[in-house]
Amino acid sequence: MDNKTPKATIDALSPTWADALTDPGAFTREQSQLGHFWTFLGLTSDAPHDGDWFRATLGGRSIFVQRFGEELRGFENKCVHRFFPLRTADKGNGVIRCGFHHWQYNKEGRAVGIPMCQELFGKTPRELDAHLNIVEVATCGMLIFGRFPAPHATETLEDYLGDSFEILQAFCKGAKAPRHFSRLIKANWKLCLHVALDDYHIVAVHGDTFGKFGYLEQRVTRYFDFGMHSAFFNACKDADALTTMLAAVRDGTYQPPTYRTFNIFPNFAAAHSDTLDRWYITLHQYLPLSVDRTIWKIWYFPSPFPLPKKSWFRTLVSNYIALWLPLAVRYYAGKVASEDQQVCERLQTIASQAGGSPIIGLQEKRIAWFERAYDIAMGAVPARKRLKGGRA
Amino acid sequence: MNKPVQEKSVNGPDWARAIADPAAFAREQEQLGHVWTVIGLTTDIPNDNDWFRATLGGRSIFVQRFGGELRGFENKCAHRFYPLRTADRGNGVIRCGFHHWQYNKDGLAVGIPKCQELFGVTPRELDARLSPVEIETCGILIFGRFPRADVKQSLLAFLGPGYDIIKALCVAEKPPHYLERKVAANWKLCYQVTLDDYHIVAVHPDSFGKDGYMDVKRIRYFRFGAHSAFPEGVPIKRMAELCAKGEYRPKHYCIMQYFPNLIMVHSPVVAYNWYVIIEQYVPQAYDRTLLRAWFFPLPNPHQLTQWWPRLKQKLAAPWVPLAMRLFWPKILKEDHDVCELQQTIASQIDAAPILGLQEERIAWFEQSYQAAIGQAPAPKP
Repeated sequence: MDNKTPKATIDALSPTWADALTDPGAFTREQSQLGHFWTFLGLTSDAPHDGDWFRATLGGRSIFVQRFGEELRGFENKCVHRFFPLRTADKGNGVIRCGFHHWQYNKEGRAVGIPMCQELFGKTPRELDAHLNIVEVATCGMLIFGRFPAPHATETLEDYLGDSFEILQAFCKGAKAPRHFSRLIKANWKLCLHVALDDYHIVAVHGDTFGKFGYLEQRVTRYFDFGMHSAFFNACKDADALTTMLAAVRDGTYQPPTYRTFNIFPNFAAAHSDTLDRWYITLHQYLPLSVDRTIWKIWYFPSPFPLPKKSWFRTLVSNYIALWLPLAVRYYAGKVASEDQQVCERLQTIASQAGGSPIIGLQEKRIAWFERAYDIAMGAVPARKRLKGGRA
Repeated sequence: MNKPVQEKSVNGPDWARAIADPAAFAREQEQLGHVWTVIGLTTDIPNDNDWFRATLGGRSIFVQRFGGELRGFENKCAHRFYPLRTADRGNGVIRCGFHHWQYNKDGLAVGIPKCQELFGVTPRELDARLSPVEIETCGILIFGRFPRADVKQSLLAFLGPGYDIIKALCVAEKPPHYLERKVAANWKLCYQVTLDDYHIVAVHPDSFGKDGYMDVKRIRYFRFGAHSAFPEGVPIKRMAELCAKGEYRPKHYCIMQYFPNLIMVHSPVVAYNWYVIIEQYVPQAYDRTLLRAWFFPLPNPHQLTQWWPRLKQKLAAPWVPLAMRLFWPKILKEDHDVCELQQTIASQIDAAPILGLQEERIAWFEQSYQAAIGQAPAPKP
């Protein structure tokens, strides 16, 4: 994008952009479409050992991911026999055995242990051939993504993430089990996401943090769109910074200069931001629960990128400060999240009145990009060629 | 009888729609309101003008005694739709609390304050009526349904052989013991668990499922009309004949499910004491159900001849209701926990279940259900 001569062109959203904000039927249809796009499910550190599993939500459905040795497999969390949830906690370890009638499944999702099978069903489990619904699972570093199979869902995760694949991989290199917190927001997930894609609200909403020094200078505010995703680089003079960053990440010399965030369609984001004298990585997900309920999950951990060389004394001070950083990050992330949460919940109260397109300014440009990707996902508009692959 | 029932999984792909969708639930209830449904017991309203409130087809109704007669009405004043009965039970004339309109036993508004001045006609000319609920009784059970031109089947025809059985067994001199339980799950999920003898090992490992799965050879399910039964020992027709003659003396456990949502059990409980248990899953919302349950001693039990069992029975008898109240809610909780978990992913149900021989009656129930809500032809009797 040419940010040198900011022309205030106003992007219009499609007239149906707000349908699923208040209509449960539209929300269900929306989620079922989105379930075929690579969606963040969790971290490999959530299932580090053989037999570990965690529950997640994909396309509005309860699913679970389980480790079998080196491999991760995903299934819809629903026994094929009588539709009982196989996993009834957030995480755990153990074989896949239904609590209702003790049907047991193997790692292919096939029912291999069925009590009284021959007597009651007249067949062997092999003949019955009952299968769980599969969730395709792929990883990028420690990030686990999943999607429900569909004939049109053929893109690999690497192609889908495009330029951001290697960057996200680098973001979480060497991270152990990150700290995290979450909050329940009484608003639609898209309203939450719009706030995350908006750099214009900082003065009004985050007056004593991000917005303390006024509005962003548009001249050095860089936005990039790639595939269905987008990125924002703060205070960045280089118009080609995404390419430069990718090259630096590849040869291991990348050092974060300013705040940068990557928003991955549909509902995942990863950012690095400076926190006192270190850099922290934050991961965000806006998990749609229902038409007006969203869980905002936030993970944070120290950035793996090398720090600039410092004197021994500064290093000592810096290491001492680093001990306290998790508390500071938790405090500020929580504070900012609360401010955004309030905005989202107020937006939801009159969401049914959202007729027509909003007026999108340059620092909200990524909302228009997101909605364009959303329209493609909903099948409302055909994918343009440049959106097909994730490469810029 | 005992052949694999894979093909009997008759549930269409939409069988679960009303489990997750409030609008589909409302349509379903509307249809089921025309099916004979238990709404209460005669022992709830023993005296003239006693009434109780109930739910039928998703609507609030009430039943009132007028001398020897029971009448049922939708609980909604014809004037401005105020609920006429605002408590679970009581005694008194039908008079609306909003404007004091008063109704007679035919549901006709006969007392209307300032009628001539304000409505320009007499109450008789105004001819305002409550919506009636058709009422029939069998034993102490009161059944009701909303009238509809094409719904003519009598309660006797609807219950079939079950009529004589209920009439003989649902007899209680004193009002039965009562308990209720709220379940955060759809009523069909609750009811289906009672039609399933396959879950006992996984769900009730220290009671019914303690000794493993039930022997397939021991099980014989009976289907009659929209209903089904699992009687141990005696075929259902024979049981009905004995009941009609007053000669039925059960020796085994029996569970009967009467469409749409009634369960009747007779079973030995403690020390040769036999009880009748009536359960009903009352639909309250697509994802909420109220279990109502009554229990009372079996009338005309088998007479014990030896002195020692008789003494044991006599000594234990006063404690049976207490024992039931302690033990039974535990079993109910185990079942209801399952239903509530099932409800959490109800919107993900998009196929037919795989029903084995010990879940055969779920398929029968679903056939009756689809016939009742007009999705499929009625099963042949």
